[in-house]
Amino acid sequence: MEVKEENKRRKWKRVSSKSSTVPINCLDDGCLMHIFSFLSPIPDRHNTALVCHRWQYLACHPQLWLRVDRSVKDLTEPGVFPNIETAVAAARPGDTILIAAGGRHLASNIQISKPLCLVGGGELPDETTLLCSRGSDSALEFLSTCKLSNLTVKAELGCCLLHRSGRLTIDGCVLQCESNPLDHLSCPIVSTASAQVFSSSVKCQRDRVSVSRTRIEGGAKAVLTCGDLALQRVRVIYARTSIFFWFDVELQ
Amino acid sequence: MASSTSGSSSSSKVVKIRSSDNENFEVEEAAAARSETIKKLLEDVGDDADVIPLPNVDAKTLVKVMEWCKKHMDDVDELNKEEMKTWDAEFVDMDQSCLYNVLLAANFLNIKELLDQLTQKVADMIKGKSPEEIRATFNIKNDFTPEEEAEIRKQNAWAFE
Repeated sequence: MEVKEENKRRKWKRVSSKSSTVPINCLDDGCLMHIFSFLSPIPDRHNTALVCHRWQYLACHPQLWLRVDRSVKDLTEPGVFPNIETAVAAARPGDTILIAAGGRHLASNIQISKPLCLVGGGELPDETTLLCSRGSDSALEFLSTCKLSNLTVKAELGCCLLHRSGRLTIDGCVLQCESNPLDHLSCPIVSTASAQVFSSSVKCQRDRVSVSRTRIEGGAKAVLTCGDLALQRVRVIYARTSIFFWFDVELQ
Repeated sequence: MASSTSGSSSSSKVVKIRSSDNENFEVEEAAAARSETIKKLLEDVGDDADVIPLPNVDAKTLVKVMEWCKKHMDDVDELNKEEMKTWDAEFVDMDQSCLYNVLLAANFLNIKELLDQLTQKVADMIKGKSPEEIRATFNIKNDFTPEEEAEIRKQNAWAFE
């Protein structure tokens, strides 16, 4: 009896919400997403996400992200790329690039000079590996504000991430350097950002690295700074098999 | 309303289509075939097709769509490109509810070029506006709590100063 009542109420609710007077809401999800795909991620798609729940869901939908899939055969499919370089080159500022899990993606000195978010497609960061082979300085080099999430970045020699400028956010990643015999040559994160004496205060505040929930393994030390930035607010959790880090690298 | 049929003076083949509100239209095949959906239906049924029913499109919308199809029947040469651009710009300039109906129809009828023109038009209405301005433009109610709004801003904060 009670269940019936409940069902009835739910049904009624559904009907009443359908009869809205908002013309644009008559468009189905596919059409709305098609519209949003014409918007630049910054600032229009961001503003679109702040309009209402439905628009937020569609504007932030992974279907609007770029994808890196090494096994892709059909290169004409829009938004899918065989490697990270081509995806980064094609991305618009503010885009998110989803990197397919499994296997190893080669990443040697990939320069990123526009705001991008790189996300691993696996359930755990370990499932998506970016490998920087010997002979390269770094896997990824950041000249702009960027975010890395759910990825493993592995460097055989050299560093995983080279931070030149901008705000770099690293969340839930694994950074690995060769542990021997040349570990003194490699550091997971190197920051060369420096606040020049004459630069404006805005600029000084911009350059920073924030790391959260990230495992850092191997290398001489987790972070090497050649600029003016310094390690701050370090928190570490010693789990049974690994160490998780939270810290910021910014102007003191 | 709008029961006009295409000029039968043309010597090309004519197909019959029926809107959701049971109005019949006669359209030149070349125009109707701009719609992948109709084209496929025509191929499937062959020459002995009677009337093609389009249960998702009402007459008013169908008139609009076929107006576009007729204009875009032939490939445009370089000379007419500018003129066509102006025509297209005027075509998509319609009131919102009409715009969305034609957009939905273009999606259902699978007319990619028209769909892109219409979605671009709506995208242009969003461009450069703040969330509040977008809501005002489309008459959308803000259903976020302040906490939810702050959370979304936080999620996207990495890209902003």
